[in-house]
Amino acid sequence: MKFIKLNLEINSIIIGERIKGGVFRPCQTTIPSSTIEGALKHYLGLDIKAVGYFVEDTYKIQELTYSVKDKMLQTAKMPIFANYLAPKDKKILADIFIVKDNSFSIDLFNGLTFRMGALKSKGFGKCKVAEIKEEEYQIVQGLLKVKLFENEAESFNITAISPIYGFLFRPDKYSIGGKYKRALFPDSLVKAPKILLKEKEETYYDK
Amino acid sequence: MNEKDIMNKSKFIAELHDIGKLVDDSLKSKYGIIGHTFIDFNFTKFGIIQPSSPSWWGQYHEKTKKKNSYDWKTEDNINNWSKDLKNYIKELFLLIIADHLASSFSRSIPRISGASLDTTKLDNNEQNNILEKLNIELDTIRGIIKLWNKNFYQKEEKDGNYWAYFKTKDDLKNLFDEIDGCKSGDDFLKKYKKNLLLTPEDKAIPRNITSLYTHIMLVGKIFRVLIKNVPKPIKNTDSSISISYNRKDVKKTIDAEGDNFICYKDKTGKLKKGEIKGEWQARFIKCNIKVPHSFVRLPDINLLKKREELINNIVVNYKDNVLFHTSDFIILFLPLNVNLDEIFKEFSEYGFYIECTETIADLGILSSILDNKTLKAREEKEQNRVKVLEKRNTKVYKKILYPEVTEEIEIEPFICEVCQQKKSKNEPWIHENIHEWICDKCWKIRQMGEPFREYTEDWKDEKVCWFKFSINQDKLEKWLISSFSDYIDCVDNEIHKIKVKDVIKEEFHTLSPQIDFNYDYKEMLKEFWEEFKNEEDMKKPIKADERNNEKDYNELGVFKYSEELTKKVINKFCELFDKYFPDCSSNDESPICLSLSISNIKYPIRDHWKYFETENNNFLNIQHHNVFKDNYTKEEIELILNKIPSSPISKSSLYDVIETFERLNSDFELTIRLKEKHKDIFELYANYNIMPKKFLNIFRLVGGDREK
Repeated sequence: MKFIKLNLEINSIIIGERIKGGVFRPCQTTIPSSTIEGALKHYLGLDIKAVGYFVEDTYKIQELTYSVKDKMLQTAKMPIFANYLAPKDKKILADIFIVKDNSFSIDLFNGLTFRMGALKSKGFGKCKVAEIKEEEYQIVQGLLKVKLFENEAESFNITAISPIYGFLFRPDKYSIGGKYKRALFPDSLVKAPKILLKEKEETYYDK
Repeated sequence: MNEKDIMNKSKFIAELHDIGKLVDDSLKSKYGIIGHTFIDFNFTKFGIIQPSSPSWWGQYHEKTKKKNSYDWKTEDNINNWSKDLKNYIKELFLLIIADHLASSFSRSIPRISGASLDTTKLDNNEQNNILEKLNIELDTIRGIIKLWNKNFYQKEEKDGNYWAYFKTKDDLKNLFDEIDGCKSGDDFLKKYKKNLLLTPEDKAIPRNITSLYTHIMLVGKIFRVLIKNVPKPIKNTDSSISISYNRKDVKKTIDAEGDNFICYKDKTGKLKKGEIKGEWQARFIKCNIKVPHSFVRLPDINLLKKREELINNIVVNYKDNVLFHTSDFIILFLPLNVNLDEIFKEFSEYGFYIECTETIADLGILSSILDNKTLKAREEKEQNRVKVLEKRNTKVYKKILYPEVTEEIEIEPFICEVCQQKKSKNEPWIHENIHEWICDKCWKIRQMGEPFREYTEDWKDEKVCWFKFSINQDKLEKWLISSFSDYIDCVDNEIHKIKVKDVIKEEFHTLSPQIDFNYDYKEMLKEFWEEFKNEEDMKKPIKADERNNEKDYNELGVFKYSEELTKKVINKFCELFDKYFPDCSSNDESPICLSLSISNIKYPIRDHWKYFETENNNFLNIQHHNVFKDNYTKEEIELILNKIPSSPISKSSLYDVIETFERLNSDFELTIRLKEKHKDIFELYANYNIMPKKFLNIFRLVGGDREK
């Protein structure tokens, strides 16, 4: 299985968990296909199948307090506590895996800068493509590391053996509405390109 | 019908098969009893009435052949067994298999010569030598040796307890009355619990590490699972009989079980392959119960109460299939035809998911570690092992039992904010002007009410400390394996040679010690809560409903934060760990840990829980929200706590030292500055490599008021 692999450099980013409730907003450490595909669509205008994760040990989770302003009343609503990722050292690094397709060229990503995730207006989510590679990955059995739409799994050469499901948001074509679609979540037992597996480790269960 | 006849109508109670293991050695030698069964006991000579209940026939479970050629042994074809047994052939046959299986769950097999030391054949010097190595002050080896508490039996003897229950002639009569009169396996286990817990299942070294209690409990359970699935013996056309399970008819135990090993090198170095396939297979399933829910409000943790309730239902409905369980882990023994989804149906309805590792194998090799052994053999491409396992149709599956999840959900109604899986109700849960969208099941859980009043009323605006004890079963398995290996090395030397040492280490099965360990863990938690039962500022959020015969969930607690209480909790944990697990690892290899999460009361419970679930890596783990996150070994925390009372400290000066170290990353600088101003902390750093930051974190938590 061949992917286009992008190495991203990021200053700070919030990819919120769908879990909300109350005033606390946790963030996640994977880059779901819904988030990266949405960002690429916004910047390149193309439907590109992609998924990713942040490189361990390059980030730490920190907390931000902010308050949404009620523009009508000119008052601040209840404060919200949001988690965000900050660099552990210089930059947060992320790996993005893109399914190669004849409809676009790899050169498209050269020097690309885009924003992804939440609170972009407050400066979060600026991503810079630092490196582009085309790499081939072996397909083996293991535990999934990423979150991606179930109906896109085949494009990534992922076969679910024992899935863990969750939901990711898929906007409609006008980006004003959409639906929650079933997705494969981390720790699902799958057959997949090794790079998308936890610890990049192969497992040996019967099917 | 006389009393004896009434007794004879009673059931075959498998638990009684090893009752002879509770007879004192002196009584045995007085009455010429060899081994632990009574089939050769001379009842007439000693004027004792021989039992005649069905359970009596369980005494034949280890029958060997005498020199006389007409005799029989349990390995023979059942058609050659004694005619006296004709009504109980099925029961005895299944008891033998259950006994083998329970033994293989509990200790090292294969049953090979030279693999153990019969302690009764060791002279006093030899016994003393071993006891000395184990740091036990008894005069002979007797009683169980718990790997995590080697002096357990010695302490019990000091308190006046002794392993044997039957010590006199009258006791012997009582034993035979018990065989006739015992009403159930549970009654037997309850009545003799104390002695069964002190007695090892097998007194030979190194098998003396598991309790007879656990072994007998396992035999009883496995026996009843098998007997439910085995009809009456089948009469064949040649008038012989067979025993059938899962439509596989057999006449010998070896035909049912197959070889009881996969492959190993014997003492001459020759490779032995266990290629004889058993006809009977069963499933051994390890089930981890996962909580994907996000606890938004305090009542959401009622879900943990629901989890206890659902586990209790499984334990009641599948009593014999559940070999053991904790609050989030169950081990099941199942025949092939039972639907696993059905067992966990209610869990799925409430949004839990179950991560299962299922092993299907011949009864001869089925064990608690066969999953890992099979996966390892496949990974390391050990061809001989893999071939034997394949030939014997051994399977290892990872299954995730997941609630049914629809393909898509419209934006409205939303996805439930608590379980993240179901559609929310059409109306929101409104509290303090915040709208929350939750599904009907999570709504129900929330409506179970506040777990305790103080949290939202009396403790308003306070700082709280949530804490959770955890036991990691994977770590426990690993620790038991390594500790057993150390035990073998410890008792094996020039005098006491244990042959095929590597094979025994490799073949060690952890389940029974694991059960014993978990039993002690539960006792430790009970004692912990007993200590704090009058503490007004500490609460156990999940209390049992005694009407449903439930037990309290003792792993989770919360208290109104104070330095004294925090210190008391940590100290008590260390003290109880020393009492119950003095020989167990107390660092990042420790199967047991305590995690504390301190924050303002408004900090979401979900995040305390997330911390408990994900960062419980060391003996003690602490998260002080927005202040620090750190973890400690037992040695570290004890050393730090010991220094604190005598350490008047300038926090600002210590900050300064730490900051400089972090900036310069210079050990030299750190040493100089500590030596100058913080002698105690320097000692911790120089002698135990405990960084000053670790000290400061604990200091701020338990003694920060005593500024210099």
